Amino acid sequence: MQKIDRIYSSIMKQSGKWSGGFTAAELAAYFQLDRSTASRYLNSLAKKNKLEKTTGKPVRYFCPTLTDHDKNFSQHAIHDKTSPPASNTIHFSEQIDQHFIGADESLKMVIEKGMAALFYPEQGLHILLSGETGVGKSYLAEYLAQIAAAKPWNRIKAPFITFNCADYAQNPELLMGHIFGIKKGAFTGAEKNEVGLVEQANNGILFLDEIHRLPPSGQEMLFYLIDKGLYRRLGDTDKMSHAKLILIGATTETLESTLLPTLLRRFTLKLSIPPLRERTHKEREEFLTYFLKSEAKKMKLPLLIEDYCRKAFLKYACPGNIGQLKSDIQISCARAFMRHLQEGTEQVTIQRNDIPSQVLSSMTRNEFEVDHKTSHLVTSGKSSGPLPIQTIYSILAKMKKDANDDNFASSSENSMKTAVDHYLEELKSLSEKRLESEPSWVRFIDHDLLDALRDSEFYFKDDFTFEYGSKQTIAIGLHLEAFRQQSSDAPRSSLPDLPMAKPLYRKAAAKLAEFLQNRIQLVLPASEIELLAHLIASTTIPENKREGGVLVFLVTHGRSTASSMAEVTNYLLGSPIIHPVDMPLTEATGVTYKKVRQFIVDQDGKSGILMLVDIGSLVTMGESLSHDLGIPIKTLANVNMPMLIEAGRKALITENDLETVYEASRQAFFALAPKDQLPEQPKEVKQRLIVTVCLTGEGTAQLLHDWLSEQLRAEDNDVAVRAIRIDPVSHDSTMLSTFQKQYHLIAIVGTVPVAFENVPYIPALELLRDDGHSRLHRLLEVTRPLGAPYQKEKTLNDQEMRELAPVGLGKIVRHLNPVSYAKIAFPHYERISTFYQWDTETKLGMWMHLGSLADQIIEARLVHGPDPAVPDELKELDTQVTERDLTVWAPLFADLESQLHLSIDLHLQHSLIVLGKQQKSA
Amino acid sequence: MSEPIKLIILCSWGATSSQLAVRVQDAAKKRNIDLQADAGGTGEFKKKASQYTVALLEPQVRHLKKEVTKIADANHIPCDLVDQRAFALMDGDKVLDQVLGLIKQ
Repeated sequence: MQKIDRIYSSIMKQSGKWSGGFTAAELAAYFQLDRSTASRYLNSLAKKNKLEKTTGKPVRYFCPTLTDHDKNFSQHAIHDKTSPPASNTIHFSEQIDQHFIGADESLKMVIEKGMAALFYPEQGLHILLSGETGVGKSYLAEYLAQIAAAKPWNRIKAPFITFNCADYAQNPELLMGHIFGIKKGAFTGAEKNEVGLVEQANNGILFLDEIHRLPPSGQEMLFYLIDKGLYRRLGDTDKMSHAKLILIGATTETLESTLLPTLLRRFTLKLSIPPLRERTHKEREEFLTYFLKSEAKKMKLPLLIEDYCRKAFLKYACPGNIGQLKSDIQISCARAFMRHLQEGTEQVTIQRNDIPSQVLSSMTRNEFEVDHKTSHLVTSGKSSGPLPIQTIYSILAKMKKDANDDNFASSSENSMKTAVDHYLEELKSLSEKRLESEPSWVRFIDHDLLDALRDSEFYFKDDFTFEYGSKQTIAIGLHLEAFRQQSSDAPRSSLPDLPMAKPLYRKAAAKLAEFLQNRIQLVLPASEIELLAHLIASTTIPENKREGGVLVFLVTHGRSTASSMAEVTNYLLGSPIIHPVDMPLTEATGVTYKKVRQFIVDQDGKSGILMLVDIGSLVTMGESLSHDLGIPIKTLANVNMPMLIEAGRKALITENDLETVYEASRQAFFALAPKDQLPEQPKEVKQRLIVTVCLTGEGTAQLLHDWLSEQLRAEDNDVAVRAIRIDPVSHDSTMLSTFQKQYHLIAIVGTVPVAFENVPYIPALELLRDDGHSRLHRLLEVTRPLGAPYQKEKTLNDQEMRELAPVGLGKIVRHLNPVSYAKIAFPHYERISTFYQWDTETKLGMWMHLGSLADQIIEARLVHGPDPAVPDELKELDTQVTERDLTVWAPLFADLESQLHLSIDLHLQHSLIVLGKQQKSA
Repeated sequence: MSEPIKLIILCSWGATSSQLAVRVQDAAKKRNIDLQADAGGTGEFKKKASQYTVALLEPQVRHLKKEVTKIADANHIPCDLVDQRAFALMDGDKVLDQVLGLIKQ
């Protein structure tokens, strides 16, 4: 499907959003397209009569047949995740008609605190709600606002506005515009003022769900609003708007890592909502009953549930919390309703087969035998008016009815199934969010086994005296999966005799084996149970119990690179053996150094330390630390996962010394990957280059060039800097491609943004800010060649120059004796070069030059010809020869005359002096 | 047959550069490399840059490197300072190596 078709179908699907028509700019913003591309698509669609367009500017486009099609569509949708973001204004009735589950138990304190905050004198306090996905954060916020509104002494008059920041998270601009409002003309297409949520919630409560999705700039605007009651609409440059409101934020994330500390502090009250597994059994029953009842209401039929199923719902591990419980119940109800339609029963009964497998996994076969006969009626409360959306039940019933009138065609059964499938799919996508957080290797384990093991965590967590969690169950799961595959594929190879594990673990293994047998009919032989005991024992190395042994540190650039890599490795190895240290890009090397140093001191790494690092300055950090602390430290650069795992494995055995761990890790560098997937051996190292650009290549580019050349540190003296011109129209520079061949292009700096391959562009302004050139420093650091860096020929030292130059001069002169010339001239060059600040290279050039010139003068005198002429270029220069210059040079000319009988014409003297003076500016 | 390499060695007086050019020419002849080495001032180079394949600057005109590099870049020819040791020794062979290295890049 072409992009244009995809966009078209997307527009049609959500025609509700576009019902007022739309412009190319709006479409571009929504689909993150270039505006001209969007405009092209729209024109082409309008030509094919797929869209209608208005005349006048800006052109607005409409979906044809919008009205009917659209209405039907939105009625069918139960949860359209892709539907456009909407904020709801909820108007509460005087009376609270709902009972809030847990208000007297698990959530009593939370609700009391929340109420107190809302009614706090003057304006009320801002609240931040946190908790896992699906625990009911937005529901609680709504509830708080609802009871607050109902209290007779309530001062909060205005509406309660809710919005989920995730809805616009892919477009921060739009998100901010939605929250703070947009001023007419803020961008192309903003043709009228848009009222933001803040304005709507003025004098009331604004609830922002998933507040961590706000970009930092938005968070800043929020805390400014909280502090001063002032905010600025998008595009409003001259006027601040005023608003007074209570902010309730909600997030699933760890507070500290996702919210700006400044904003976090503004939330006076931070409430954490417990996950479903920490709520009471009674509350869970209430939830089940509540959701069943509301489904029954929608069906308008008697709904029954088998006891067995009811138990399953009450028991299973439900990581997605209340949200998941609700969608699992809805899925079960939909399936049961489908069966009811097919079988033509009087009532709907939820049976074992209607229930999702993860719900069933908590039940044993035994329980099924006993319970599945009895079912209970869910008493549905009085139906309270028509429901706002068409439910799956009425869709199905209608389809069925149509089909009956139509002499029941088999195709209609299919379409019914499709409708249900679609429905289930939507519900599932809601509950699948939680899977994102699970490591991907759980996919290797079959679901029944995985579910059983997960539940075993739940059952045995308190039983076992040692830590028992996902760390162990994943390991056990991977092993048992292998065991099952092996036993079904081929005769099982017998296990070697193992020494007995500790009684503690053997007992645990026996319990687990029994559980697995009951649950998933997995029969383990005694030898496997013994192995299981070992597996549990080995994955349960208590933290901090390790004494001695090599410490492994992982230090890498980036906010969480090291901790993420260490997390995986430690998880796989079942022990916190890798110590990660993150080095955020904003952090100076010195700070990281101190962190690592402190870490080492705390950990007492007497047996030696292996430092695994990525690139740059970190490569040499180990050596400095070793000197500093007097501890043996070895470093391996370019760290990768195999190295990390191998280092961890070897370091787990405390008897292994540093050398062993180091060697094993080093050799793992190329392990595990097929040859053709490995990177090529590094080619010849190219000289690094920074290019400075501006529109002329002479103004800013030249300034930047000079400034950068000056700023480069000694360790970066291989870096070349080039100033070039960027064409103002094409923004293209073939020069860059030329450079790319010869150099390692590490950055483009300047005033004209240049997108060239992957070379980072740094605006000149960024360099001029206080800590501005840190990005450039970072780039220089990470590209600094290791081991054998590119080096220009080592610079000549003075001594060498004095030895070599007379040899070279000897080759090109005919009359001058280079050795006597050297004897006379070198002492003078000391003084002259100090005065003009020549370096050795310039000194060499000037020395050779004068030598050669002297030779030509002698030759000219011998043949009685004219002296060598002064070159035109030097004549043209307006460099003045001053008294001071003459004083510096005169002794040399005098000595040449007295000792070599070589008199140099005054013009030539002057031009020589001018040439020498030029050097200073080089 | 490929084009001959045309090298220009720059200094402001033409004194040492012409000598060095001769040495590079000799070295090329010995190695059977098709090369033509000229010496010249920077003023001349400005006018004729496009004729050359590669340019080298002697140390005493190092202050002109920026200007020369710009001209060279504009004509897409590599340019560099003559290697200091090779210059000190007037070593045509070594300068020839440097020239070949520059072209290869």
